[in-house]
Amino acid sequence: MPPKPDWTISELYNKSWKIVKNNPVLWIFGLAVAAGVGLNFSNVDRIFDSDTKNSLPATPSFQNFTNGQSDALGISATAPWTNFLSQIPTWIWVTLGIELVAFVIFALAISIVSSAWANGSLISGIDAALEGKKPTIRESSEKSFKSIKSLAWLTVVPGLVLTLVASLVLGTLAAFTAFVPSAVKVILIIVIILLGLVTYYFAIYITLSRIWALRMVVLDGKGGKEALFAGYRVAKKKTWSMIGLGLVNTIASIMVALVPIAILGLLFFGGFAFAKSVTVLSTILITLAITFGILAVIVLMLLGGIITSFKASTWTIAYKRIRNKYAS
Amino acid sequence: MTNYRPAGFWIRFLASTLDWVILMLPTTLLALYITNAASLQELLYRLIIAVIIWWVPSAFFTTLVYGPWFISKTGTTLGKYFSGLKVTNDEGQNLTYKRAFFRQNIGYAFSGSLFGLGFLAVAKDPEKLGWHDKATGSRVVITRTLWPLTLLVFVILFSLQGYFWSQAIKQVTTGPIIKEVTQFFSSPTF
Repeated sequence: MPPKPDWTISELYNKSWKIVKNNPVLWIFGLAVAAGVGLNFSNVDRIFDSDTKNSLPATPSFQNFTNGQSDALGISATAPWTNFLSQIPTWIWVTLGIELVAFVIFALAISIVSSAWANGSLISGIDAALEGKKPTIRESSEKSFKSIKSLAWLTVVPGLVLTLVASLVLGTLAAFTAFVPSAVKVILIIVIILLGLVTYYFAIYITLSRIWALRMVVLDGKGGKEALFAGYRVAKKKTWSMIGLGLVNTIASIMVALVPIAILGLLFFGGFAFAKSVTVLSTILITLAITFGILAVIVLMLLGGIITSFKASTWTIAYKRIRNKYAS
Repeated sequence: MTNYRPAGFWIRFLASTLDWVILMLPTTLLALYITNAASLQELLYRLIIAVIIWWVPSAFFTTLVYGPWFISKTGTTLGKYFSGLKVTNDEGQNLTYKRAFFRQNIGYAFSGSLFGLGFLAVAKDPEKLGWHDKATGSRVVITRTLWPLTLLVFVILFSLQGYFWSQAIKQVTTGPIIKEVTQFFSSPTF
């Protein structure tokens, strides 16, 4: 007889749904986590993130912008401005640059702390709900405060270290390929591909380990480093179950988020399709689409919070099932 | 601990608006300085100077000093002081710098995340706490009833700044800059 699995997805979903449905305070934390998503190094348990990154149009560079202006205005029209910009003392540009870099670093630091706190509060709130208590902003937040350093460490350090090491090693090897004979170049390229795969392996495991590590920090009071290694041990044993749950979570959340987008698309499509033949119907459909579009922003935000808290809840329930089995 | 009354939504809103008006004052004065330029290029130069001396530093000043430092040291900001409000922890003491920093930055962002619902919660909550108060274990109390003074200071500062902004707009629309802009856009090469 095969051993009983640690969890089944339907069971996790049923329990998660009950918890999330009955505790709107978790939606708020979910919303905060979803809002702070952009800075995270791991995206497996999140939605929207990778999609938006890939679909963003390339930003035109300043160089291209000024060139375009020269084309439109003629060289003589932009020349005074180029002269003017070059007359501004260097110290002004340097000061401005330093200030802006400091500002960006500062904003990043705040976002990291914010993301760490929101994650901690959400996990803590879910834990309270699982214990049969009513989660509150105050208690969940207090618990998160206690482990905020470890949470921030987990949010930044593992991903950053991997990125830096991989960039340094792969970049150095790639630079070497320009100076070596063809035979060695082939070997170097093979080494680069292999190291790339190793980096990919570590990236996946850091993401998977982080899922457990965050819970170990908040629920078991472990330090960041200790939790990461313990999380790695669990992730190694539960890799395929985790990937399965992660995939189902992602597909489910995309499907839920697609509903309002699909309705909106249909309304606009109908509006434009009838634009020539039935003007009144077209006007009604487009008006409905615009109204629904405004509503959809609110709905999608709220939905983002609910979905994030739901997914966090499935992982937390799963963690509570296995916490004493593999983590030690 | 002295038993102060918890501050309600409107007085807190007034105090925050007053804070905003106070923090806008340097920007308003800079707008007067920038728009007083003799040419478009000088205007741009002054704009860069304004970014360096105030706009970027003000982001640090507001997030590190104006809210958190003042609240941790005195329990108030200028807006709250003129409104007779004080931010305390549950024991009635000043918040630590870390807590105050968290409240004024991450806490505010948290409360504002769903169209400001976390701020509006103050109006409905029995203890008059917003989400940022609950998240940081803080509360806002009334130490003195000063709302008429708050309103007066607000009206004076708001009117003064309104006047300055109208002057700034007047300087741009009637001075040499508007001619330069018009020439620029009506040139045949454009």
